[in-house]
Amino acid sequence: MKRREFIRLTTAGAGALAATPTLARAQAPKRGGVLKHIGLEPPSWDIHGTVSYQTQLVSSFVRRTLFKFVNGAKHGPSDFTLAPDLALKADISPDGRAYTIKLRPGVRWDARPPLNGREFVAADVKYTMERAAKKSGYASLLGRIEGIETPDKLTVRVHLADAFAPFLHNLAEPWNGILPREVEDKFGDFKSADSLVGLGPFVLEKYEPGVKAVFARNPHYYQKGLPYVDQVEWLFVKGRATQLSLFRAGQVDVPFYDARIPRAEIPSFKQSNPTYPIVFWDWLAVRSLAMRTDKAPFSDVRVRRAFSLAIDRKKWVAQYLDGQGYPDHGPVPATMPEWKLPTKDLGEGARWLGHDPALAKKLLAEAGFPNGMKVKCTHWPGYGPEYVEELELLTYSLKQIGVELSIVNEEYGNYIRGSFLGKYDETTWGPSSIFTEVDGYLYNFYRTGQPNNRSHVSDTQLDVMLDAQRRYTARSSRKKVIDDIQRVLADRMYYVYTPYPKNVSSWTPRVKNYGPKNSFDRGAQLEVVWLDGK
Amino acid sequence: MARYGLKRLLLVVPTLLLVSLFVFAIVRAIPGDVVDMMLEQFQYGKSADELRARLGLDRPLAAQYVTWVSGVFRGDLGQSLWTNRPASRDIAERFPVTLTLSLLSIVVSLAIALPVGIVAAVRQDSATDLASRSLAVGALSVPNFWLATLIIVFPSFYFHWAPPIGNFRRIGAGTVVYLSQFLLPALCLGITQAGVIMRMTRAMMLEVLRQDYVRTARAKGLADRVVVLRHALRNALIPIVTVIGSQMPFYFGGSIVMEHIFGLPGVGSFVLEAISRRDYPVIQAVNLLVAGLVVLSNLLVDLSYGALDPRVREDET
Repeated sequence: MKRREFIRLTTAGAGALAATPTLARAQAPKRGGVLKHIGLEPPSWDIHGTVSYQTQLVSSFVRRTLFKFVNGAKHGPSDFTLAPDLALKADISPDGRAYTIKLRPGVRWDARPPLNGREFVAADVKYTMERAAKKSGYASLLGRIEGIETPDKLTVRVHLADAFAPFLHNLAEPWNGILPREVEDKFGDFKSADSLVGLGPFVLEKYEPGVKAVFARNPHYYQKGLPYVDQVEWLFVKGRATQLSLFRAGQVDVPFYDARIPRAEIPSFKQSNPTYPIVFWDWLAVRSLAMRTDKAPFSDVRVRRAFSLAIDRKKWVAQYLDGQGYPDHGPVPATMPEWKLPTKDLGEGARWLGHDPALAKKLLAEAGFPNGMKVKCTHWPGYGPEYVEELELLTYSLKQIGVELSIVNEEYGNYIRGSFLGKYDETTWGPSSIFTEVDGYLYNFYRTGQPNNRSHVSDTQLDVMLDAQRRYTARSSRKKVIDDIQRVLADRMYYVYTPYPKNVSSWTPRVKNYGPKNSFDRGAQLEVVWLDGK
Repeated sequence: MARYGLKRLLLVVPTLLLVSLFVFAIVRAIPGDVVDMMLEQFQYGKSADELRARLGLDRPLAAQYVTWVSGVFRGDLGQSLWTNRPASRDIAERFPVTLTLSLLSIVVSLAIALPVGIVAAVRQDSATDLASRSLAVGALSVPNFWLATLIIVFPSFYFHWAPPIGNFRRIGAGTVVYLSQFLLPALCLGITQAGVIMRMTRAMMLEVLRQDYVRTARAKGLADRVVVLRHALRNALIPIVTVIGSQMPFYFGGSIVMEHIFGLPGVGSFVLEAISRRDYPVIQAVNLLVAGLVVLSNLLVDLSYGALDPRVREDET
């Protein structure tokens, strides 16, 4: 099957499955009701002005993208099958450099000024993409755009300088929501809540700073019958204990922006709210020990391999995570099975993912550290007690091979602009950002000079491979390159990835057709949800 | 008295100027530069120099300070670096919430501390006194955030009930509805601060009750209630009022924690966000406002001495 056909069929088919009233009717959805949801207040409402996920979450209720990921209880949290949204289909040129996107006809913007319900057209897409390429912190994830044409009012053709495999996928990310030029003309930018005007399933009915944002059903939404709920109250309640208490008391339906509850709270929830579902689900972020591989001692691959060998990943998952986690969760997360190379297929590198303290000590001795070593490790304890406990576990593991990890707690501001971006002395430990496309976990972390390349990797052979995987638009060819990259990375061990726990989520039993999702496109996730009962 | 008031009022100006200088300097001493953060964490621009210039942070600190202070004198507290919203607009929306919570907490503290402190002094070394002293120590020992968390967590676990949080209603919704939202946080904050006032009340009352004029009042045959409330309490009040004045920063500080736990949209949660984002104008504006209020409350305390004690009035005239 050719790539261009693949896109067309997948999007059309998945769209039918994802969010249409047909599916909903089969499960007897109910209309109406107010979904009360713990949310987060954004620092700004401009999706190009910030990479903040809080902004993407609220924007997605109102602003829509050309494509979206399938949503609903039937689809997995990491199912990123594309469904049509404002676009109907996309054709890719054989060289992978031109994308012709056909837009959905008859879609209308918000009926209020300054848009007055005008039709959504190709010029809107061109304006948005050009603005994103110029202003967004994610601009590099659109590839190198050479030009954008609008042959007719419902067709957009994007020309890229080089083939860029993740292009179409990334168009479904909420930071690519389509913006109307008139709003920027009127307000000067998209920073204020007043600028949140769009054509999505919801309209922003009310915004009370520090209290809540209320999203009401958009009566003119192009997908008739959706959303099912009348309103979503996105509450800016901050204290975690308060959020969970409101949830226990049934005052909110969803206890966090992605419905997460702390793992330690599971037994008490089973006791206090036995009818609430407790759902374990796959999470996409990775947790790793990054090392200064540009200088000694971590420029020596034997030291890095020794660190990895010190960790008993299977025992970690079995005992500490009660079996609810993944021993091998990086560089490609285990929750991306279509890209993840199983440990047994990693070749020579698979050896370094095992648990072998004796070999680890031998490697350290060969590297000139027969008596072990003392290493500083920065981190931000504010991620929560679970993260701190995992770092303690890592510290304990390394101690067994004579490595003393000296933990340096950092203030958030220092951590996020320092260690998180590779500015530390020896090692740093923490989670990554979430990327829904495999490129995010490879190119960002390993390509020479990338800001997220925390381990200061500079490997010419790897750079060539990382660039190559971006160029292959045919999935099978790209997969082969990505497999090879994973083999190289397992062997060179630039980061030591620790096991990853599954997320735990819960919601009130009246919330139906809800499925946790590794995406910040909350609008698309909630448009297919309905409420059954008080 | 008027001259005394005027003199105290004039002293407020240099105090606030010093405070403004301190606030301006301390905000910039927080580790982490706003431009780095905007660029690196939130990708809020492309070039550090360009962003610094756009935010007016490329000029010398002295020039930035003069611009800010002159703006403050014109009623312009500056704009948020992140949202471009005037800080005064956000503060105007949020400050009434913090003020209401602080004032209600003071009311709660006084409602508990004064009667208990007085009774404890009048019945010195009795079981009542012991109980009230234990209560005071208990109130002092219990952190308000712990009490607040318990109040929220326990009922939700055992009775599936939680205070109505997350649907804050402004004063336009009606005074009763508005004030009812503050009852639990004010109780948590008020109880913990009541301990200090309770102990001070007891100690001062004990001292005053031993004075000759109290004995004289009793000898004249005045009722105990009149002796205690009209003669003794009034003379004991000056140190108590001083303590209340000195507690004002604790009430404002405690409000920040209570706002966070009870989901109240006051300046506390607002300034916490601003600090984490290094939003200098907002941090400066809120700090200056709080400092101004503390200065003002101290001024009111000083002025109240005159009202409470005729000797102060006479001295000043």
